[in-house]
Amino acid sequence: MSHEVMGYNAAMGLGLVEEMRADDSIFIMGQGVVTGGWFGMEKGLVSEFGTDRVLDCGIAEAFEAGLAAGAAIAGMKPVINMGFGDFALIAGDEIYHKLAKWRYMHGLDVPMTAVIIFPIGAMGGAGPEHSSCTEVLGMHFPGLKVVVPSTAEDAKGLMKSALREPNPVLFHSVQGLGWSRGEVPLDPDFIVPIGKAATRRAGSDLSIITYGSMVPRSLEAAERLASEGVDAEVIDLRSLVPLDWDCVLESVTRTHRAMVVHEAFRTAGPGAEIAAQIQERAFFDLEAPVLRLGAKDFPLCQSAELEQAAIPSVDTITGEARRLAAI
Amino acid sequence: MLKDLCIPRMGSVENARLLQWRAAEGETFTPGQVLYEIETDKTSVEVEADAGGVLAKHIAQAGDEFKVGDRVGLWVAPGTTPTLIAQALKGQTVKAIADVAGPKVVPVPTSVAPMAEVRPLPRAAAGGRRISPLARRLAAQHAVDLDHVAGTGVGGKIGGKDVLAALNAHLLSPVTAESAFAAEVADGVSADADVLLHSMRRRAIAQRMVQASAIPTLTADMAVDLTALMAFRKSSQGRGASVLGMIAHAAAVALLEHPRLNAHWRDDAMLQFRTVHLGIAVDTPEGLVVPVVRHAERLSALGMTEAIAALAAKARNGFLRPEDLVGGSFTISNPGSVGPVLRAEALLNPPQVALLGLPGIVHAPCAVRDGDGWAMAVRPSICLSLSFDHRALDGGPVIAFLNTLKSRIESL
Amino acid sequence: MAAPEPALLTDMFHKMAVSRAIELLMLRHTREERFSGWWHPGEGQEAAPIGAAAALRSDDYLWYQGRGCAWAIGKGMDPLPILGDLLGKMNGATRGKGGGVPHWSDYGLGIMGEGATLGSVYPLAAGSALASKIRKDGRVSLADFGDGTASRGTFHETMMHAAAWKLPLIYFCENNGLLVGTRTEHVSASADIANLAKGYGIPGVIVDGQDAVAVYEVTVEAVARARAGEGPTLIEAKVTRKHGHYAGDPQHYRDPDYLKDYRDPLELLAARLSGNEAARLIEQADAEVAVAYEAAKAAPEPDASVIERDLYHVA
Repeated sequence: MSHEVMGYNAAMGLGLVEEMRADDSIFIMGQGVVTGGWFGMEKGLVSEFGTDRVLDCGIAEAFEAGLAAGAAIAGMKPVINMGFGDFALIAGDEIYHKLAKWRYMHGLDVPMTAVIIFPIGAMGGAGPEHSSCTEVLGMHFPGLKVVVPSTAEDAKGLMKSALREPNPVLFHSVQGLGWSRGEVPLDPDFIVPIGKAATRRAGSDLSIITYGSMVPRSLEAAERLASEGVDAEVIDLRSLVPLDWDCVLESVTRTHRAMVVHEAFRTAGPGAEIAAQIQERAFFDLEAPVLRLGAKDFPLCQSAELEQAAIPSVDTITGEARRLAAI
Repeated sequence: MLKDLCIPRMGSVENARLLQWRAAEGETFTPGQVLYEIETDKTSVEVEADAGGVLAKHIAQAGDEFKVGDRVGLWVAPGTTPTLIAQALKGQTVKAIADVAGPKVVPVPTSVAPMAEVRPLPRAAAGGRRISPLARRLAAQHAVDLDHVAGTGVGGKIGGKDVLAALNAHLLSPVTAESAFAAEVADGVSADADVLLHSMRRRAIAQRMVQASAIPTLTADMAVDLTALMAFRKSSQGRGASVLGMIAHAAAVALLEHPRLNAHWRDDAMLQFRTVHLGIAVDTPEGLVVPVVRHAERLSALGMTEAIAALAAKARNGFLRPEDLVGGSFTISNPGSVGPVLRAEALLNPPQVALLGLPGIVHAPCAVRDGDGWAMAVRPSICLSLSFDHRALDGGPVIAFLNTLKSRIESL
Repeated sequence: MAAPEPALLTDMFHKMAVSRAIELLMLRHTREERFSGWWHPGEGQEAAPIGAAAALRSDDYLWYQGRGCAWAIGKGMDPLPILGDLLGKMNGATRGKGGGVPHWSDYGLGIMGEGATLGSVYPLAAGSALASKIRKDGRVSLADFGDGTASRGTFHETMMHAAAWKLPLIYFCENNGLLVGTRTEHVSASADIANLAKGYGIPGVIVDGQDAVAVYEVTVEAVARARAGEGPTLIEAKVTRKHGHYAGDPQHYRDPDYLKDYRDPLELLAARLSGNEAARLIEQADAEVAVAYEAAKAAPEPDASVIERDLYHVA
């Protein structure tokens, strides 16, 4: 099967279209999806699937997420485009209680497929309430699966897996990568399994554990480090729940140094959990403390320059990695 | 789209060295096609493709050393165009393993051992110097005295690599060719010696020999008259059978009667085998190897002769597969085939508990029955050496086995 | 108006009697024995659930929120999984996770469960209603709630969409004039929740919630509308809350006159039965519940492995 170079959002859309063709219990809802969606992912859906399965709704996130829970329990496979990850908080009860816990608290072991799309992170001046990285919430509340693709190929492959997953998936699309392009397999059987990390660069001196928008930056930092004689391994987690601990620990026990890099706030971000588990499980494989890089613990500013200054850059990743290698 | 080409798992093989690539970058290969050749600590192996594809890149070069599972190249699905491959390679940062490996050192396992098994050294063991958690664990695991470890980290911090460096210095110091050579030059003993770095196989042999020498081993010798055997070789039934093949056949049958010698020693138990997988030590230019004849008890003397000849040819030509070398239950060593040595005492092939050594055949004067009396005669004979693990066996069963073997050979 | 057939009346009375027996049992049980959690009694408020559930098909979706157990009994659940749950036993509907805020569900009976964050049913019920609309399976979804959660944002979010999309959805409000300890008039300018329907352009109906037959009749009409693709209806059943918010509630907020007009729904329904049928059905229900109670008490306690069950489904 051949490949095609396409954008990240388009690849996500392709994954959705392929699954909608194969499974008529899938429907999508969000604001403006009938007219192609905010970021273009839903383009063309309504002409193929009609307004029964492609639904516009109001600005009512709690309703959207609750409806997804109800429809999923009734056997449908809803896909909700929340527009922004920030809006997870508006629908907190519906996502972190109803989607996550309904089966558990009722003692039901039944499939429940639902995909909530959260575009997350800085996108060039969207401001403090449209740029949040909320993925850590899905790690904290048991019952959900959490993915964050960093390439167009993964955006498609993880979307397809999410729609075949019998559990609710919080699908975080990365706004900063929305227009990035990459080679995407056209094979309809191609999927990226949930819970499998990808080693994007092999290295022997330290492990950079990252995901989402920080993957390309970490790779660029690794190239700079290589020219200084520091050989960094870069792991793209892709899924945060379940998290591929085998991959992380295998890498760390080889390189003996680790840092976690993400765009989410540093304090109590995903890196806090990852760093804690590395030191709990592999302390006597470590040469140095596990470092964390994340956004400064301040709301993101609307100014695109200030926004970039608040989140890890290639420079800061390189600098911290250099410091780590020297400890 | 790029997939890893890794050193395959082959029995107990751990280390390998790439000898040569047999498929070029960009070449399309079919399942079963040989992609590259490696040397392991036991033999050299041709690695075949499991599936069809296109070889995208050689990451490793001839001479690079690996662990099983290491990546040596990249491949892609069949039909992928060169342009696509080039694009993918551009996206993928390919690391040459040789660069990663750095200076050659004795490979020391660094991966985490279960906490219960290794109790890391206390920080106090570093005598007030800073020490990393990894260094504390490695030092405990390999019993390295931190007093002899120099800290090369910031402020003299001891890191894992410092402990490994100390360990390597210790392991390598008596045998490092260059240092020994330098010492000899300094002594004025030898200014014109050649430095021959150890092959992977030599290192493995050395390790196994050190291991075997720790076993309490005794050797019992027994002379056996080969007149009957030589006569049998000349009969139509025995034509084509070698002396080694015939003795090996007799030994295999005798082992069924004396299974205590056809066994493995484990600390908690003996593994006594009901079939005989017979190791045959073969001398090759790269060193000794011991390929195994499977189900030796099912072979006739002629069959045994052929099986041994086939394995020896494979060994000398470097065609042994890793599976040819594992699972032996008893070993025969035949130094007599090289020259007329008088005894064939040998170190054991652990975990096997016994080994039969065959020295040279001699024609010796001996007393033979002559009616009611004795007469002198010159007869072909061999003095079998049976080395055994005294933990597993006492002299009695060993001599009983030799008795059986002797009577079998003499009554052919 | 579709008056219930005599056989249905008998069935409704039997279910109400079973609910009542469980209610009385639980009031005694929580007083006399150890109870893990809080029991939210529904004694005296059984008519609305029994009447509304009788108007639903067994494959219609019920998202309940009410107190007591009458919704589950009305939709066909046996007493045993209910009592097993309340006693925290392995034969409970939640398989050992316990109850107090009930999480009984039975998908075969269309009993979808209850959220413990009050008022969470609206969008969930819209979800199953949308599923029915897409699948054209003719099923109706009923979202039960109290007057207290009519102030939730999702009440509005959901009804706005459901009315526009003509979802087969029924909003069923049990208005007892009390939200936990707050009087409804302190938070609502209108005494009638049904008034809200006007804004969405859907019918809003008020019914005597102590009278199971009256409730049945209005629900039958709403169900018919929903099945015909004509969209949602808001039913408001005026009910009386006989007990506190939970068993043991000191009820400092209670108006002394609140219960003066209380009418027992069991007595109201008994008046429609002939001869001594009511007495016979009550006796039968008491016996059934007593057997279930003993079975629940005798059932095994959950072990800690229950904690790790049912979080993720493995295909």
